[in-house]
Amino acid sequence: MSNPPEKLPEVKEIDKLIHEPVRLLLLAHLYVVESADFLYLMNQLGLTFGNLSSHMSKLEEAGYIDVEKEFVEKKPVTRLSLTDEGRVAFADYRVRMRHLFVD
Amino acid sequence: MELLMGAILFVVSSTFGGTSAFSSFLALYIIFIKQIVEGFKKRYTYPRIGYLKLPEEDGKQIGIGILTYMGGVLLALVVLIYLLYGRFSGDLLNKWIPFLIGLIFFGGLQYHYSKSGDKLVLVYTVIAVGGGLVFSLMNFPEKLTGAQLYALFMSAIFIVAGVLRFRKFRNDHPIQSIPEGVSENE
Repeated sequence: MSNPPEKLPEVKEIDKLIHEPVRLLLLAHLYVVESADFLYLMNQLGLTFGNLSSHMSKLEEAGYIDVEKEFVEKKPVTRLSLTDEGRVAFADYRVRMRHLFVD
Repeated sequence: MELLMGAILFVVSSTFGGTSAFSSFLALYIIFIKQIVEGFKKRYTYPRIGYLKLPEEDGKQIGIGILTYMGGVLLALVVLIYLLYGRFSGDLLNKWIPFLIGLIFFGGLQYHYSKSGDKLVLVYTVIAVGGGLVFSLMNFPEKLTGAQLYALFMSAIFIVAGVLRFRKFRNDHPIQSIPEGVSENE
């Protein structure tokens, strides 16, 4: 950062919902795939069921992810995917962070 | 992947041997392959490591890429045969079919490696190309025996590797289930 006080308004504009480390990782995973299920994300992120579930709910409430529940081979499966809104928000977050550190 | 490749090559080898099972197999393969692979994944893969769907690639682009690559490989082989023997004939092409298949494997396996990062695929590539070269340089009484034996050899490699990897996968990744009594929306 060349001049921190000048960047202060930009820092304040960063999406805090995305900025949380677990949610950031979760969105980063979903950004590069079409969809992934709960089990896959739990394994990839090294999270417990409850932890992932709570972050998932927050992102779903914000409209950043879609959550679909279905039964496969009589077992419940929860599939997550990024919404268009979530994709835009994540891309915007990336731009802001890059701008903050590089420019 | 390995088990499927092994099965395909086994049928290909029988085709080189003179049986006409390949066309029937190809028809069944095209009709049922998606359901069979998805059924296998639903039963053995997703309950262990979860489900992931990657963005679909442009099928037309891939098709053009495959045809261009195969055409290029065939042309390179024709040139190689000319350089080695000073002439070209159907018999010479039959003799070099194993190497041709090996080079086609090279392209397919490298594409797979670029997607999966699975280092074992590099070992398959070396075996496929090296094996193709060895079987092409050997002399056989029948013109397609080399191609038949090469397809059988690669089939055996893939089936054995596939069975071993599948066993390891099942041992390393036991079936995981969502814990009872935990709400997904807590």
